[in-house]
Amino acid sequence: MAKYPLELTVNGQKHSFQVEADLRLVDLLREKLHLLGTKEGCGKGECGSCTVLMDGKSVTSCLVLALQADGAEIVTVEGLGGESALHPLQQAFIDCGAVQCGYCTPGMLLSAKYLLDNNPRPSREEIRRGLAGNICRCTGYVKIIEAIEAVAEGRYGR
Amino acid sequence: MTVYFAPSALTEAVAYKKANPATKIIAGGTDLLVKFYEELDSLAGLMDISRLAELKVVRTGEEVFIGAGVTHEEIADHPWLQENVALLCQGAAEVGGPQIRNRGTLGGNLANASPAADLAAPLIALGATVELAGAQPAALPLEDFFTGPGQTKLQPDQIITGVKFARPGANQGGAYLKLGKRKAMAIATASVAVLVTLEKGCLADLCICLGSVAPVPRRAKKTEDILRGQKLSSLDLGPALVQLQAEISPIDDIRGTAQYRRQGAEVIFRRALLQAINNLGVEVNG
Repeated sequence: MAKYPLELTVNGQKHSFQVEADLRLVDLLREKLHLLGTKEGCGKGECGSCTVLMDGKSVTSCLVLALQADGAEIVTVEGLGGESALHPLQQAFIDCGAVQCGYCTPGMLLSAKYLLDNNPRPSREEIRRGLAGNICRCTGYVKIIEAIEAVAEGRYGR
Repeated sequence: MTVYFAPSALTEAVAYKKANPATKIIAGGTDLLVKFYEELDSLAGLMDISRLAELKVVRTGEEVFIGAGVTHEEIADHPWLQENVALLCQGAAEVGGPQIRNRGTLGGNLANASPAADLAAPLIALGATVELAGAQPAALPLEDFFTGPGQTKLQPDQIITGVKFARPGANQGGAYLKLGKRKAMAIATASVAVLVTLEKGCLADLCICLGSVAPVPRRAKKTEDILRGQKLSSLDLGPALVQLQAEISPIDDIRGTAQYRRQGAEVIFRRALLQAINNLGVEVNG
């Protein structure tokens, strides 16, 4: 089977692989790098649970071939923060009760990060639009929006 | 096993496509991977043009060019385009959600040839031509490009390089409206783009293009004929709305019934027309 060279940076670390053309970015992250924070939900770009940042932009990693990320910088939820040093968004999600089953949470966090990176003081409507590509079946979204508002209002530092 | 090739220049891409005409072109992958991921093996191969810098160009001025590799998010957020062709930015902002807009491209939206394509109707209303690279460079009116759902006049050895259109004048205004199940992530149940030209209190010219109500994005030329030349002070939409119904041929599908589409198309057309006129600072009733 034909394999192709791939170099990319994930959460600040450089990696080199030989991969097949049909390997998706979500598969590379989960199966080759064992970064299991990134979830696969629908596999069709509808649910947003596989959202990661690719060169600073939010993408659904189920719709990106791994080879298309050659040379790119990827940030997954593990790169956002860890147990010893949570990202403000992660802390706000915990404090606001924005997590229930947790499956959508990594994708929600990265969509929220992309939103705030580009629009540090979004309105409630802009937050809702910013999360339009992420589905949560537990929370009803209200607490997720409140958590993002809390960060945008500076309650978790800047 | 899937063969993968990522050209580093457009000339290389054209040569590869000529030698391998059955190869599928992938850019953002937001349509292609949804449709083909489970059967990638069945494809003759993939040529990835998502990093071709030549296709990522936006040239502004009296003649506007937008490269095929420009993403929906880049169009939606482009300050000059927002100022000059807001209807196109509205269309781009209506595509999927942020993640889809960050990957999906103009060229992909046109090549996928969905009757619901959110960029097609505004670009047709703007009178855009689609530029193609191949053995010979070619350009054709976007209006004539689509031949059926998922089908275009693109030849196997051709690659879409971008679209070109004239910058609308100061007396031209546009609007794009979409009817869908949700405000985001929805594929249009019906959509409409309108570009109007106002002169001396008259609707001197207009272009109407509807999406999701025919096998291809459809110009409503006879509806345009009825409205062309009408005085804004006595605008009569009645006959135009009757004609509009004769120019569309919606079907029942998972996103809506033909009857719902007919009613919806009429409502959003009326709103888009008035919005396009209002965007020029002219108050009008109709």
